[in-house]
Amino acid sequence: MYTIETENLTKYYGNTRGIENVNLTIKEGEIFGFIGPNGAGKSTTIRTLLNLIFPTSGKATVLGLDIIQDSRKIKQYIGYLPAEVGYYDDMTVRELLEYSARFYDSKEHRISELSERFDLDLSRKIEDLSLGNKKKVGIVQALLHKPKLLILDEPTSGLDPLMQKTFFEILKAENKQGTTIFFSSHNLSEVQKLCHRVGIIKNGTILQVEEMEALRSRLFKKIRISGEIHDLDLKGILHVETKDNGTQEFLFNGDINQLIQKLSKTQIDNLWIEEPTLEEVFIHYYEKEEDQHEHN
Amino acid sequence: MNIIKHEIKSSRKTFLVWTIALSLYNILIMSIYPSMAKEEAAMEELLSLFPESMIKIFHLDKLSMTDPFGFYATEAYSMYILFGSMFAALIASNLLAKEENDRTIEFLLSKPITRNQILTSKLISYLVMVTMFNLIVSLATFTTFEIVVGEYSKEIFLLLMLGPYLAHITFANLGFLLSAFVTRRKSIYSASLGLVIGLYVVGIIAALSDTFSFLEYLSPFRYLEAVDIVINGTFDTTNLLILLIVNILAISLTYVVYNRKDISA
Repeated sequence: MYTIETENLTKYYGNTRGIENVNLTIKEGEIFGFIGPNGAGKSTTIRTLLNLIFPTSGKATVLGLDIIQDSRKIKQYIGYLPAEVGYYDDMTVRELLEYSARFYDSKEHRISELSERFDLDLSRKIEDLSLGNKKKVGIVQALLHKPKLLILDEPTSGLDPLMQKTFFEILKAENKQGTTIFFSSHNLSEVQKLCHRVGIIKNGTILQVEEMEALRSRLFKKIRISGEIHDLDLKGILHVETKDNGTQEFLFNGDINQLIQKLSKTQIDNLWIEEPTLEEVFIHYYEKEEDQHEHN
Repeated sequence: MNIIKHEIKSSRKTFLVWTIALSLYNILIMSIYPSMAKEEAAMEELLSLFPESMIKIFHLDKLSMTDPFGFYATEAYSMYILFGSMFAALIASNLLAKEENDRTIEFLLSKPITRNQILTSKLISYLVMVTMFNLIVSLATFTTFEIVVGEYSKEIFLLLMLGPYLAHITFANLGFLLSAFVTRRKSIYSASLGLVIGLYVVGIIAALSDTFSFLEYLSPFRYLEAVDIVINGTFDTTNLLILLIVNILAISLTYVVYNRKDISA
């Protein structure tokens, strides 16, 4: 049994496409990153799994239960953090978390333990919290009842780097105890630290699902060099572009040491090594795939 | 139970303000009654100065201002039924709409509860609040009647309290139905207030104009006129039946619509 399994899941908002024929399988115990640019269909997929919206066609199960028929049962075992957190403004953090905990059969919850880890002030009113702090409340709320599956929609946006680190540590610890984690992000470099597998969604369709290891080996760096450089002649250089100011720009997935050695023998003015945008990675990733197919 | 407690707690301020205001209004109006009753001649002179349409709206051709029920019917009843309906429609429609407006519905629907359970909890919440509101205002009015009137028909008094209650429940259910469609806070406020005031005005137009008298079937206010209660000493059975159907339809439609709707992001 898969923890999440979707079969040609499709959602149209009137004539507007949300997602189309999404097929995903999430295994028990894994951390799955759901990656795509804004508007790609990440939230639509997640909100369909939670039955906040109804699929136009296709079906899906969560923990082996039908997302529409057994929605209530499913929710006993999942924790969800929405992309845009909205909570009852006039409540204090403690009141909200207690309200949340009362929905579950289990009397055991972890309000004080979790809020301590996140450095959360329980006595503050929700309306007085910063966006980052609201997000923290949301995360604690999702973890409170020890869910079997965590569904997190853009969990890291709004968190400062330090908090993000804490958050990832907690997720890893939860995962070690058996919690399956499904989370979306538009930032691949953020996700790659954490995920076992990633699924890439664009324009409502899944482009690729891949083990993080395999993807990493194919990941590109974006290199920019200004100065007199001759042909580098290295494996793994793609899409060389020369800008007006003489700067050369290319994507590189070869051995970075070889590149540095080559460069050390020439005189350059400046060097940038950057993470390419998601779009760049996958556009070129796919071009490469096609190349290989042609060679075969 | 969790949701019901939460809702009643978070609506308590609105509830208190409206309950106190309407109670005070009824107490105040009935406290004036003894002095009005004494000045019978002056009252009649005053009434003769009223335009005919006013007389018609307040049914002063059929009711006497010097009679306690006649006085209550003209001075207090219509305000109580109108403002109470506003309160009921606002409080009921807000319960669902605010969850979507504030995005808290994503929180609520991620809990192990069905949409039906959410609806039923909200339904019970506003029924409790509207009932409490009516009980308190009626009790305040009853006390005032006991003090300033003395002898009067308890049965008619009860009907005069029950009429507004039926209207309030009806408008609460209609507001609830509206909130299955309209979820922006500003829009749901204007929609539910507009519904109450709109149907009130329709009722007045139906009363004033013979051409538009057919409109009276549209306005729940016309089904529960104080003048009919005071004169007939009972509700019209057909009217009650129509109200019952309207209420059942409104509630069922809310459940049907809400169970199928996509929660807006």
